[in-house]
Amino acid sequence: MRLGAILPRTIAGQITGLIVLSVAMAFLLNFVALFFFIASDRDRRPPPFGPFQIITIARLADASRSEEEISALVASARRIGIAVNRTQNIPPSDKLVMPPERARIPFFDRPAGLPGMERFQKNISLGANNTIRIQLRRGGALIFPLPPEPHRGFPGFILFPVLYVLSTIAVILVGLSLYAARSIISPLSAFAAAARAVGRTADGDQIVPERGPQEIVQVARALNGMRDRIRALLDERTSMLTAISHDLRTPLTRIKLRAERISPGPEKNTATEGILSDIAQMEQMLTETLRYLRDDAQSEPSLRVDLPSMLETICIQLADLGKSVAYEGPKTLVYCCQAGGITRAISNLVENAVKHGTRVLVTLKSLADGSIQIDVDDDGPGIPYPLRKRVFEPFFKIDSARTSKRTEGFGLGLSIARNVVEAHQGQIELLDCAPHGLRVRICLPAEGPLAALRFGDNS
Amino acid sequence: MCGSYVTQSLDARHLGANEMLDDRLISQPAPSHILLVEDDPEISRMLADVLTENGFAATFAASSRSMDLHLDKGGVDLVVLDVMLPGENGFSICRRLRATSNIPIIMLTALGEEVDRIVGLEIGADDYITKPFSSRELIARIRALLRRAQGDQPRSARLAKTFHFAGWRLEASSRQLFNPDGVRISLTSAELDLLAAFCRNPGRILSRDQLLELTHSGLAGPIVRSIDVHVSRIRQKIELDPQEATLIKTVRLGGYVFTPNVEAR
Repeated sequence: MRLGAILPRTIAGQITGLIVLSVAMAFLLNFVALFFFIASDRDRRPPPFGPFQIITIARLADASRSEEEISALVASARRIGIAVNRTQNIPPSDKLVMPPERARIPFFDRPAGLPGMERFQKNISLGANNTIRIQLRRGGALIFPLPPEPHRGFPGFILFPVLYVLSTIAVILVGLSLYAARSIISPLSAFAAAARAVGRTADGDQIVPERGPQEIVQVARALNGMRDRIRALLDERTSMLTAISHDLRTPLTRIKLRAERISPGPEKNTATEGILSDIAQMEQMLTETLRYLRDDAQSEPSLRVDLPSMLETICIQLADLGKSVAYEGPKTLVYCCQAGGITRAISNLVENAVKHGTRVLVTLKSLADGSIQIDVDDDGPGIPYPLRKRVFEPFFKIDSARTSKRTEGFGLGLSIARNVVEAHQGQIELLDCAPHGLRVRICLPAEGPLAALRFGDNS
Repeated sequence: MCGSYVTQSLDARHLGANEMLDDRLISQPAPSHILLVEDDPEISRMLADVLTENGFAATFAASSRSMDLHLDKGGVDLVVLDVMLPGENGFSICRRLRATSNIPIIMLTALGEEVDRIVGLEIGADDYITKPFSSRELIARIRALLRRAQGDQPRSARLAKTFHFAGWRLEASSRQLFNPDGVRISLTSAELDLLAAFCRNPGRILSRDQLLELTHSGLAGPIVRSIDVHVSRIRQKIELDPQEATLIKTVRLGGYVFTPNVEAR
């Protein structure tokens, strides 16, 4: 029979079962412990005797008619373990003041209500070497050993069971914690991880595992359902925007071809140029949107890339368009990353910089810890502090001067760059550039996180 | 469903042909026959006009079925194939065509993304153009591809997707260059086209004009660098000593020659 078949399915059932089982185990343990403890305790002790036995023996002896009876009495008392001695001569130093006023004789300070007790109390005195001496009427005395004093400290018969109970409680608690960690907390952590991943990546969502106690399974199902609905919404949004972007391309092609036919040849009139530049802008927006929606981070393999050649190529392409863009850094530097993604990210930054500044400098540095730092500096107006977080949001554009130009896209450039850099587990930040302007700094970790993915299998 | 649009190039001249391309027109004795597979009738019509104006014979087909009919008639030199078609889509048509023939294919794609472009090239398209494109761009690419297809280079070189030379590896479909250590070296689009042209014609002296045609450059942007600038930039990236070039050698008064052994796959 499988263990799972006899375990209760719900958390409530499991907790109840665990507690009942633990309590039962605790009782069993305590029972066993007490049994052995008390048994051993009883064996260890001398046979108990107390003041009543002493008084009884003394009374019997006092009532004896002959010395032989007393001897027989002493002998039988010794047989049951009371080491009583008969003595005839009382040492003269002993006083006969009874009862002792200062020296307390244990148990004898309270008359137990036995007949003749009063008399004996008068005759009891502490003898030498922890003995009790009781004088008899016929002369002489009986010497008893001092009866064992009852345990005055913390009584063992309480202490040990309490310890056992505590340790069983500890066992129950540890068991409960282990159970909680395994059945409740670890699924909850998985939930948290899955919830964090929803919507972050194209298809990297984790499905929450639907196992464990019934309640956890219910929560997992609900979460998975929610994930599916969110996924569907995201997919719908993506496919809608993709469809719009795609479908617009056919009419755009028509407009473009028509515009070219209005005045073919080199002597283009301004109207045609205007139309063509508007088309170019729309085209750029569409391309940008499609790029943003398409999460290439999933599909693009990681390659060993020569970063300087990449940065130089980006700079050259813009420099060919008449911009002042320069690269500064090492001649070669191999880094493992998604070449297309990083190229796009840096291109976006450099294009932004060119838009807002007149001179742009791209700097590459390999830091001491092996991480990579890429700065894109411009001498434009910069971005005010309060907006620095928001410019990374998709479709966010700073109004006023920065967006007045016609070549603006949808404001996805920085979002795309940030997504790419974060997919490489890097960081992107906006800094000030002296004396004015913006510095966008990208830091990429020492070992590309995707380094192991596809290393050398592209030959 | 199917419209035929064959016009002799001379008829189109009066519409005001594109002067820039006129001189090349003279060098082409018979008009090349372009088959345009595109479902949007307006685009088809305008493209057919543009093609005939530029000295091509153009036929268009709106579906794969009518395309097959035209191909069966024969005489088609190049196919311009839209990806988004009703019924059988462009990728599938391209794969099917490639299985039986070596006819040059240019894909028209609205997707324009890296992945789709690579897919298109991998399944056998020779080139691709992203919508919206300009007619100038299309004509230039058609010319470059026809030039490549008619050249004396072996078919295998035209359809090759990967070139190996001197330890370097050029992947034409994904447009990436890897050095002998397997490290990706970035190239601009023009540099890449130029290097691919060299790889397709190793050991041949290529004039600057030929290189221009083979690389359909002149489309890059308003400021076009000369072939010399691109060659010198490629040298910076692949030559051990750019001053003493050994891979791309300058031929006095001739142009350039690509010296290494190229293995095309």
